[in-house]
Amino acid sequence: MLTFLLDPFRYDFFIRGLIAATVVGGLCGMVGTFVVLRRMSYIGHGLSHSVFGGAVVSYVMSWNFYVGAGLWGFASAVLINWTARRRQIGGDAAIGIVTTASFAIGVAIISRARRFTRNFDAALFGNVLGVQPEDVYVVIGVTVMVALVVFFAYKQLLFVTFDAEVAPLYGVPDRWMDALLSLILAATVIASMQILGVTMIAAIIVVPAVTARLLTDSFSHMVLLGAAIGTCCGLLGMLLSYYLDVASGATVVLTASAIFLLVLVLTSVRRRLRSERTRRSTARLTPAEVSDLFD
Amino acid sequence: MVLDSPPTSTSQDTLAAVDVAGLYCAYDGTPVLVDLTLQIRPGAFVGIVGPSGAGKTTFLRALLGAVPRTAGAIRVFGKEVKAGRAARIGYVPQLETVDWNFPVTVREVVAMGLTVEGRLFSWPWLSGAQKRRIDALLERLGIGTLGDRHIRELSGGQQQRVFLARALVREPRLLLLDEPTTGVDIKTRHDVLHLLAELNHDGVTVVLTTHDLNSVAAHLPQVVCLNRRVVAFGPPASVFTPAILEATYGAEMIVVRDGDLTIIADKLGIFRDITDQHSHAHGADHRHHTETSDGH
Repeated sequence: MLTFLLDPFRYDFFIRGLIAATVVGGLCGMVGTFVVLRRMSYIGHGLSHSVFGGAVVSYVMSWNFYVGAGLWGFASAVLINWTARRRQIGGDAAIGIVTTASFAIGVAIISRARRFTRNFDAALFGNVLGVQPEDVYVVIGVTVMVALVVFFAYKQLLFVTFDAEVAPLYGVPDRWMDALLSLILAATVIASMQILGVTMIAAIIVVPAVTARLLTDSFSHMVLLGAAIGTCCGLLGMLLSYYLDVASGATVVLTASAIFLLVLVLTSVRRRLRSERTRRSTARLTPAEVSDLFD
Repeated sequence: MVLDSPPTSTSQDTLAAVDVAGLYCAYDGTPVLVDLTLQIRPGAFVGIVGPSGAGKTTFLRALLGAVPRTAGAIRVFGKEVKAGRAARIGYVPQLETVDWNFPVTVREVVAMGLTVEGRLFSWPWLSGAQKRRIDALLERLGIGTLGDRHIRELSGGQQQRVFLARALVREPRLLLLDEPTTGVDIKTRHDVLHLLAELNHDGVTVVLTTHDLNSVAAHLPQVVCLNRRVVAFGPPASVFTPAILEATYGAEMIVVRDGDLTIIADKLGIFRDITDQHSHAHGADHRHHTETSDGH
């Protein structure tokens, strides 16, 4: 049993993958709170597809992946924000236009030269084998940077996330905070792409945060819980990926979904029990006691 | 319930709390405020009334420097309000705009008021003094035990107090409230107005907008009739006349006075019949005094 459990740790690539997936899980979970509460879930989804275009272009031009995809991702985020500020165009439509066009550029380039195709499986679906030491450093670096930003801009980010209309009236630099959130999201997506895959990132950003929301009514707790749940999903998903021989992005997402489902069921049961208890305890009251309750 | 505001006698008295001169504001080329001039003295308690789209909210936001203006000057306690730069004013938004499902506790909302202005970064926690300030304020507003509750679990009046606390925690000298009595029941409306009168008594200048001419505006010491510009400004007794109300709302209004009580109704339909029958039933010598814009 012990050898079975320790077996994967004999491989450097697995240890790298495990570290990367665990850290990425925590990163996505932390960022997820802001994404979910600002109703930017679709942006995360779109941005990851958009960055795929950047990844392909930087490969063809033989630029560094992170530099190429980073610039591309940030440019798309700014473009989305800018398009969405036009009143006639809704945010969702703006994301649809910008990111799908960007994804299409990637697809178009790949289809011109079919020999690339295999190299992009990892980018689309995530691949544990593909994780290089460089990727681990980038993931850790981005996570530390995002954690610092969230830590030191916590009050400002909370205010703009809660009430984007009123925050500037209280002197919060809302445009800067918007830009900061776009930057955080783009960095998260790019750092996660090699490990989780374009198609899976949105789920790993959204699901742990939504799960945390079910468990708490406090913003600070939601940020911390989201990060904790994301970390667990990355760790467990990676181990499952090894034992079941399934793509790592898929196992991480499925782990997150399973935890979400479990929490959903448990919190629903708890809620039902609580209202049942209130109903019973009030049923036993005398009319005088009931009228006291409403005083 | 006439809320008297006592005269304050500080050296700041010479400076108006709000001094707006020749203000023009526009959204996307559509003028909202046109040549608006208004002076509010320190310690005043002012209600702003006017039809929808008259620019009530825009006016409040202009005082906060949040509305682009095409012309005019705004001074708050003698200091020029700069465009895009928030002055230190307490602002309570319409509760309708709040996302009640957002995961924040009462204390977290109030702490937002202490976000340092203009800064990108700061420490994420509150100092001991700030925590005590928040607790003392919650206590004073009668929601001291609710600090760790989620905002959705509160009654309408308590919710209003939470957002009032967020504004007051900055210790403002000027408090702006957008429709603080809309969508709340009579008791809550009464409580809120009482609380504001108390704050006003302590020297805070209060400016609120309201749709409710009868049960809110008529009780305030001063009223502004706004429709893109200031139609009239003064105590309700002198401002609520049929001519001024018609100029403000663009519709004929009836004003019924009975001693201290003022009732305003639109001229169309059922209200007129009722008031007519009412004065008939009580005879001609009764104190009722009905005014309309086409004579008395």
